[in-house]
Amino acid sequence: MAAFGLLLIVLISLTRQQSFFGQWFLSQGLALELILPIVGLGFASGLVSLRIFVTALVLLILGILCGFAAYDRVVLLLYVVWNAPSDLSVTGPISYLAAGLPLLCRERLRAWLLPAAAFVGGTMLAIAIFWNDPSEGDPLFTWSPLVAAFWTIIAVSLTVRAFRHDWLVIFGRILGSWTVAIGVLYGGASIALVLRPILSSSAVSQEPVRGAKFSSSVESGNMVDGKTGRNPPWRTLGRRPTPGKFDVPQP
Amino acid sequence: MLDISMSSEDAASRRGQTVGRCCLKLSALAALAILLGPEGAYAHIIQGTQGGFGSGFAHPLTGADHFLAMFAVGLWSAQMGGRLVWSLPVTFPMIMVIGGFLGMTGLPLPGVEIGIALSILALGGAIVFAWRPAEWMALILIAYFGLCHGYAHGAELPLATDPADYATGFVLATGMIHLFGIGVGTALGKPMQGRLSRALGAVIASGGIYFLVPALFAA
Repeated sequence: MAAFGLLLIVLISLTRQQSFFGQWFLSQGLALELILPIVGLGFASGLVSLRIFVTALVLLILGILCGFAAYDRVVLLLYVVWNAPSDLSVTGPISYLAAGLPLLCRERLRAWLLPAAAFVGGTMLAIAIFWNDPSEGDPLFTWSPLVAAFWTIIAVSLTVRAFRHDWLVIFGRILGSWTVAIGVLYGGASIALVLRPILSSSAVSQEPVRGAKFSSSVESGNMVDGKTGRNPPWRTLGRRPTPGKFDVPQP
Repeated sequence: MLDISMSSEDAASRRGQTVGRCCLKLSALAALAILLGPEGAYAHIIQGTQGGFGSGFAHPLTGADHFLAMFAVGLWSAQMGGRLVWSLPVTFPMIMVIGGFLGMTGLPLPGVEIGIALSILALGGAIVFAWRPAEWMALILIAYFGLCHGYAHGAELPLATDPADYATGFVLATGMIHLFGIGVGTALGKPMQGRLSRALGAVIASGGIYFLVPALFAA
């Protein structure tokens, strides 16, 4: 199973120069923000009973469906709360935390936490895939990262299950701490970009506009994220997202 | 399964050695995987003062002060054995990210450079004297040092071109240095009654003095 997956990746990488899909899949479909949390969930799935593993897989699928169905509402909520500066910086940290926490927990708590984490991870995965789809609905771009994610979670889980040992449980905890740390650093960087100007003395000295809910650029309707050149989602609801910085340029 | 503290000292020591050997292998495998990994891992690297995954990964490896401290954490945890083999390397990155967040927001934390230098000296000294404090004390010590190191790294993180890949590379490199330290500590734990490990601790402590003196003068 692992060999088949690796062979597929090698084939795609060999043909990537000719194929736009190949370029996109290697840079976006296998982006660290998508794959590493799935590896974490797979590792945690390998440390629980088969029944919990199946439950987690079912909830992962439900989470993915939920993510696709409620995309607009979830993204709007995340944007308003988080004020994310880039595409995956919304879904990435949440996915990392969802993958890391079950790994860090004790066995009994892990069995309860993993299905919930799989649901959250699935929702974030669906949003990230939907967000980074440059084809506006080509099933190949939607299904390929999903298949890669399922292959990863099942392959990692079965591998851990096959070599299950005390030291592997310990390594799982270490891996969990790394995953949580990446999530907090990644999310923290997004929040810090917002907080830093507020906390710095120069920003404090600026007097806010009386009664203004948002910054003047937002109030005037000209708000375009300076880094990504993307409109805020409440202006693009109902439409497919504008390509961001993670998108591969058209050949 | 995880109740290592409950088992006998011998069993804990044996288990620690197994973990150490595996850590050494895992860190080597992880390094190999990253070197041979898919292009996607390097997809967001942009040349500049701060980049993506490569820049974050290189940061702890190229800074001698950070490298020595992370390595010492692994070495010390392997020397103490038992539950601390994994609880110290798990605690360090968790607290480090809190320091990282403080650094990213720009909140002041005085004496960071001194704290970093002191961490190398203290951890090296702990290895030299084979100090085995109570678990809570070791964790508090590691937490303080993690806070200082995290703050220094965090102050640079928002400037990174891609914080996601930078954070991933940075945490993976830190963790691998821990694993490497655990592996070396386990390998050097038995021969010559652990004197080699303690000698390495002396080298680390002298590195701590090297970093502490200029930090004190600068303060």
